[in-house]
Amino acid sequence: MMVDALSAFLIGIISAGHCLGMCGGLTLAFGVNSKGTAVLAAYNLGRISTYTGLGFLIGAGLAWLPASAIPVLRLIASALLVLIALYYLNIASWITRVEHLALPLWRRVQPLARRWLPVTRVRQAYPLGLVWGFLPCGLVYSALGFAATAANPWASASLMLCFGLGTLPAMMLTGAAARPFQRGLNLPWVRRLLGISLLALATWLAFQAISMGH
Amino acid sequence: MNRDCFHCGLPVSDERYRLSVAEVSRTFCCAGCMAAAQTILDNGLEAYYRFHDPNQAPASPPVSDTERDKLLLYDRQDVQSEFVSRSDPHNLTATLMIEGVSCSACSWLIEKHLTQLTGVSQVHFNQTSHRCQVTWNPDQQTLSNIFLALFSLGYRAHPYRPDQEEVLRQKSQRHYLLRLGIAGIGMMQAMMNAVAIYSGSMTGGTELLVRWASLVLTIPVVVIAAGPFFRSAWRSLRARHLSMDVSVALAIGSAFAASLWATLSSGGEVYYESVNMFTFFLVLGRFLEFRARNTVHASGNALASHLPATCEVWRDGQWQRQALRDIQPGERILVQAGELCPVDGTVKTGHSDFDESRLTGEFKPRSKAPGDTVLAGTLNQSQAIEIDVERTGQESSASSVMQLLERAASEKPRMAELADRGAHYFVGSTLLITALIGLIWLWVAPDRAFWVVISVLVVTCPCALSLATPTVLAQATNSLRQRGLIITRGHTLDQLASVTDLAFDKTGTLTEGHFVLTGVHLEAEAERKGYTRADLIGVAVELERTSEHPIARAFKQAQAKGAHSSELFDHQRHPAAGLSARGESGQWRLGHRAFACEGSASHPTSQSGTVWLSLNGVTLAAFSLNDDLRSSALPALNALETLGVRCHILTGDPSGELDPRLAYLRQKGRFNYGLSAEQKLDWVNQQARQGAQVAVVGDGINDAPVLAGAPVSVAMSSGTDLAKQAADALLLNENLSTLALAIVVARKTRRIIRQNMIWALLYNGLALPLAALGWVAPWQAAIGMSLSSLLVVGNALRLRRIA
Repeated sequence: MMVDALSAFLIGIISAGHCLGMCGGLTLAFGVNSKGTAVLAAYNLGRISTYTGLGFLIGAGLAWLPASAIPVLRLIASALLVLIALYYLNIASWITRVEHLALPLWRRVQPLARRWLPVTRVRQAYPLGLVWGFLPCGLVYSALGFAATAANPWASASLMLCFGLGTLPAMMLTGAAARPFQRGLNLPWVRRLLGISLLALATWLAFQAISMGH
Repeated sequence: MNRDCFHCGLPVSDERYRLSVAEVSRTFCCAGCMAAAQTILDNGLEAYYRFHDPNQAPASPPVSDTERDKLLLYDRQDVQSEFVSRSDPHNLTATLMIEGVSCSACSWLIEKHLTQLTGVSQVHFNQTSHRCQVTWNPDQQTLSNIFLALFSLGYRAHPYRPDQEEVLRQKSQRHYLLRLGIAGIGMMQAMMNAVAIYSGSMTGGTELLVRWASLVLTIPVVVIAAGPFFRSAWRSLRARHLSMDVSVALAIGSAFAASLWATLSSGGEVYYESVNMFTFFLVLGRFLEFRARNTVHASGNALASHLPATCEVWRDGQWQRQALRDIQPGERILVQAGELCPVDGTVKTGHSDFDESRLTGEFKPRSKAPGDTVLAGTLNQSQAIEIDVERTGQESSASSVMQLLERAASEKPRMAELADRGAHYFVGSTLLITALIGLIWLWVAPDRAFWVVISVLVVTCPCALSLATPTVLAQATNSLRQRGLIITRGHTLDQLASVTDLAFDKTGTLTEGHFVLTGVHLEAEAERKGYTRADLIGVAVELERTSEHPIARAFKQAQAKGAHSSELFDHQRHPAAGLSARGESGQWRLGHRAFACEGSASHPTSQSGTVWLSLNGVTLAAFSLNDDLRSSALPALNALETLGVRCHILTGDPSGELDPRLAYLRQKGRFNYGLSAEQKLDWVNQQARQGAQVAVVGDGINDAPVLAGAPVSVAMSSGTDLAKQAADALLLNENLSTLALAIVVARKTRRIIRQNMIWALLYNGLALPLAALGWVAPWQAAIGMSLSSLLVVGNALRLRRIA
C-alpha cells in the first residue's frame, strides 16, 4: 500500500511538465496565480478534491470485483502508464485518444466554471478547481487506472489524493518561477528521463501483477 | 503550420486536435490542451494568447526624444556602477524595477520580449516584487536599449538598488524558503506514512522499506531545515543560557537519533513523521514571524530604491543630466512633472503639487511654492520646479525615517524583555519536569517512556510564547506606518495604549502653523521717527532671523521683494515672550505687549493674535497675525474624547487666544497658556504624579524639552530635527485624527498581546499534563504546538485590518 501511495505520488511529480503547460497556462490566463497564494491553494485543493472524489467513485465502482481480478486491473494500469511513457518519449500519442473519450463529460462540466469567473476570492477558486479537475487529461486517467487497482473506495481515494499532492509542487509554482522550470522539464533529455522512469514504474507494476496472479 | 502545441508549446505529433483561435486554425498536442484553450476563449480571454504569440507586436507607446536621452545615461559606467554587476567575464547583470505590470501575461511578455534582444542571455521577472533581473553581453547590447525595449512595451523601468540590509533580508528569506521546502517534502512523506498506516496493509517487508525511505527523506530535514535550531541551541548553551531552541533541538535530535537506531537495528519505534512535522511547523512559524517583522523594512526600503538614478542639475550655465550620487548639497536641480524628487531641498522657483503618499500615506497632493520644503521620494505632479538641494542620499528624509524605524525595531519593549528573561527559567523548568516525567515512566512502563518524553518536550516548547509579542508589535508598527504615523521607540505602543491625557501644543500642531500678517498698525511715534510700514516689517524680519518660530515666516512673506533689512546684532530669544536685538538706533523688542512695551516678561495682557514692536521701550507698531486651526483638529479631538482620552492644550502663547470652537477646553480648565518649556514639563510631571499617563504632541518649537521628558511624545513631521529625534512617534501626514487611530491600534495591540500570552500559557499548561499521562503521541504534540503558534501569528495579523 505504502509503495502504491509512493508510486501515485511519483506519477503526480512526473506529470509536472505537462501540468505546467496545460493547467498552468489555464491558471495563468484566468489570473488565478496573481490573486495570492490562498486563491491558488484553494484552486489546487479543488482540483485535488475532484481527483480524490473520482478515485473514490472508481474504487466504489470496482469494489465488487473478486480479489483474483486485481492483477488484471494492475496490468491495465501499467498499460496506461506505458501509454503515458510513450507520450513523454515522443514515440506515440495514443494516450490522447483516451483523453478524447472524456471530452463529452468536460463539455457538460466546463460551462459551470463561468459561474466563478473572474476569480478573486478563495470561495470562488475552490469550486473552479473542482470543475477543472475534470479537464480531460491522460495523466489523470492513468492515475485513475492505477487507483482502480485498489478496488476499494477509501484506498483508491487515498491513491488519487497522493497523485494530486504529487502534482501540487509544480502547480503551486507561479508566474515567472514556473517558466524556467517548465523549460527545464521540457528539455528532450529530461522528458526522456521522465518517460523512462514511468516505463520502469509500469514494468515493475506489471511484474508485480503477474507474480500476484501466481 | 506550427508544429508546437498552441497552448502548452510541446511538440505536436499529429494534427488531430485543431481549434480556430482568432480566425486562425491552431494545432494542439492533446484534448486537454484544446479543452483548456476552448475554456479560455469561451471566457473572453483571447488576450492571453495575443501575449503568447511571439509574432504579434503589442501596441507600443511612442518614446519621446528626451526620454531616449535620459535612457542613454544608463550606458555610462559610473551610473551603472550602482546597480550593475559582472555575472561572468562576458556578461553583466542588473536588477530593474518595472512599473505597470498588472497580470501574469505581462510578465510572460516582458521575459519573452527581452530574451529576443540580441546579447540578452537571461531574464527573470519576479511578479510579486516587480523586479526583473537581466543578464546581457555589453559587447552586443546596451543597457539603454534594454530599457528602451521595456518602454516600448509600455512599462516604465528604473534601476533597483537594494541596500546592504535588503540583500541580507532577501538572503535569509531564501534560506527560510529552502528550509520550508525541505521540511515540506518531509511532511508529505509523513502524511503518506499516515495514510499507509491508516489503510493498515503494512507487511514486515514493506515496513522496512518505508523506514529506510523515511530515513533518507528525514536526513536533509534534520540537517538543513532544523540545522539553525541546533546551532542556536549550541550558542545559547555555550553562553550558559537556556533558550527555546534548546528544548527544540533536544526533541528533534533525540527523536531522530532513536528512530535512526531503530532503523539500523530493525527494531523499536520510529518517529520520522513527528520529526518532519515538528520541524516543518517550527520553520513555518519562524518564517511567518520573519515576514511580519520585515514588511516594515520592505515598505521602507522600497522608498529609497525607487529614487531616480539621475537628475537634471544646473552646471556651467546649463541644465545637465547627472548621476544622482554626483549631486552636492547647495546645487540647484530641476524636477520635471511626473518625476520623483531625488533629494531633500527647498523650492527656488515654480509652483507645483507634490504627492507625498510614499512618505506619509496621505494621497491628497500638497501644493509647493518657493520657500517650501520638498522631500526625497515625493512625486512632482503638475509642473517643472527648481529645487535647491539640501540633503542627499543617506541624510535625506527618506533615509532618516528608515533610521528611526530601525531604532524602534532594535529596542525591545518591556513585555518582550520579560518574555525573553522568562524563557530561560521556563525552558529550565520544562526540562526538569520532562526529566522527572521520563523517570516516572521508566519506572511504570519503560517501553513507553521515550515517546512520552518526546511528546512532553514538543508540547512544552514555548514557541507560541516567544512569538506572542514581537509579531504583534511588528504588525501594529507596520499598520500605523502605512497610515502616516512612525513609531520610533520600542515602548511607544505599550504606553500609547494606557494614555489617559493628551496634551497638544497649539501653534503648528493644533493650528496650521502658517501665520499670515493680516494688519499693521503704526503708532504715532513711528511716523514721527520717520519709519514706514515696510521699514518696520524689515526690522521684524531681521529680529526673527534666527528664529524657527512660524511667525518669522509670516514677516518674511509680507516683506516686499528686494527690500533690505537693517543690520541688527546681539540677538536674544526670550522664551514665551519674544525676541530682542540691538541696532544703530537702540534696543528693538518684538513680542507680546507686556514684553515689548513694558520690558517685562510677565503679565500677559495683550490682544489676541498680535505682536508688538518697540524701540527703546517705545511702542512703534502692532502686527496682527492669524493662524488657522487644522482641518483635522476638531474631528481628532472629538474622536479622542470618545476614546476617553482627555485633551489639553499647552501653549507658550501668553495671549490666551483660543479658537471659539475649542472654548469647551477652557471651560474644563484644560487650556494652559503662557507656559515656558520648563512650565510645560512641570505640568506633565504634575499630571503624572496624579496618576495620569500623559502623551504630548508638538512640533519641537519651544517645546523640545517636553517632548523629550514626557512619557510618550509625538512630533509633527514639520517639526524640528531635534523634536523628531526626541519623540517616541512621528506624525508624518500631520493629520491629527491619526492620533486617535494610533491609540485604538495601541489598545488593540495590547489586547492581542495579552490574548496571545494567555493562550500560549493556557496551551502549555493544559497540554503538559495530557502529554505527561501519555495521551499525546509525538506527532499529535507537533500539530498541537504548531496550531498554537499559528493561532498566535494569525491573531497578530488581525491588526492589519484597521480602518
